[in-house]
Amino acid sequence: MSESDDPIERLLGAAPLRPHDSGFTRRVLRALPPSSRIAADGRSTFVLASRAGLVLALLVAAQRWLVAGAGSVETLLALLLFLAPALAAASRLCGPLIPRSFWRVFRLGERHWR
Amino acid sequence: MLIARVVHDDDRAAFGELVRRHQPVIRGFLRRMLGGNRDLADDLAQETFIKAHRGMRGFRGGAAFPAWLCAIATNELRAEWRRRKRRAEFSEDEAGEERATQAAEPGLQRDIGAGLARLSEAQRAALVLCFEHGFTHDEAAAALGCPVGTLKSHVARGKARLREWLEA
Repeated sequence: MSESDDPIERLLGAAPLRPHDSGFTRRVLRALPPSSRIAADGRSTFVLASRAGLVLALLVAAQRWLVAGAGSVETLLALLLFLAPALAAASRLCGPLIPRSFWRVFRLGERHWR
Repeated sequence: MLIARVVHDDDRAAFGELVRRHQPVIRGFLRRMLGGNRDLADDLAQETFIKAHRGMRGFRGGAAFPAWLCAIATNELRAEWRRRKRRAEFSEDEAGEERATQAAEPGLQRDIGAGLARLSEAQRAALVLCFEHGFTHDEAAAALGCPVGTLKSHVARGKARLREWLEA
């Protein structure tokens, strides 16, 4: 508003009440809910790290299997014992390793055609 | 720019800057409306900024940002008044506390506060926004959720009552 001749307007404009302090800004920022971006970033980092770890484990297991003489029943059993819980845990933590849409291909026969 | 950073990146530093810039208007407005009760005014101001953060995507940019914030603050005020009415315990204690905080203000502030306390809530809000915080009539009307004509009438009546009080 521009400078006014009205005494009421001048009175109100002369001493505006404008409280200001950095403590209030900090208080508001502290009261905000946690940032969704940080949470999402953290989750995707965790997912990527888990998947990379799983791929490495599979590579190591395949290499051991080759070295130990591929085809031996004991090695295959040991591998399965190791891989089954590893795969189950990984898919529970970071979602299915193979997209669900892939498995739908095999479920065509289950549809109830009308 | 700051608003876009808050909306798209949930940038806390940008929101802190918005709070830093606009807190004088929001806190000042709420203090005037609550008769100088600093603690309650700051609580409502904090709630206003938290709700603004939550609803920032809804800010269309049509109204000025301070007017949009004031509209949220006005809703908070109305909710507070409703709570008080429901509790029916806006007791002498609370009123006394408000008078005490008002008395702690320096001379001119106290006089302005005392004069504004004689006005209706709508008149007080209109005068504070237009002449203390420099809102245009359009912005003040948007902040208070009333037509511009109604706001102008609150301003005129408020000024007349304040003038009577000053001359008495």
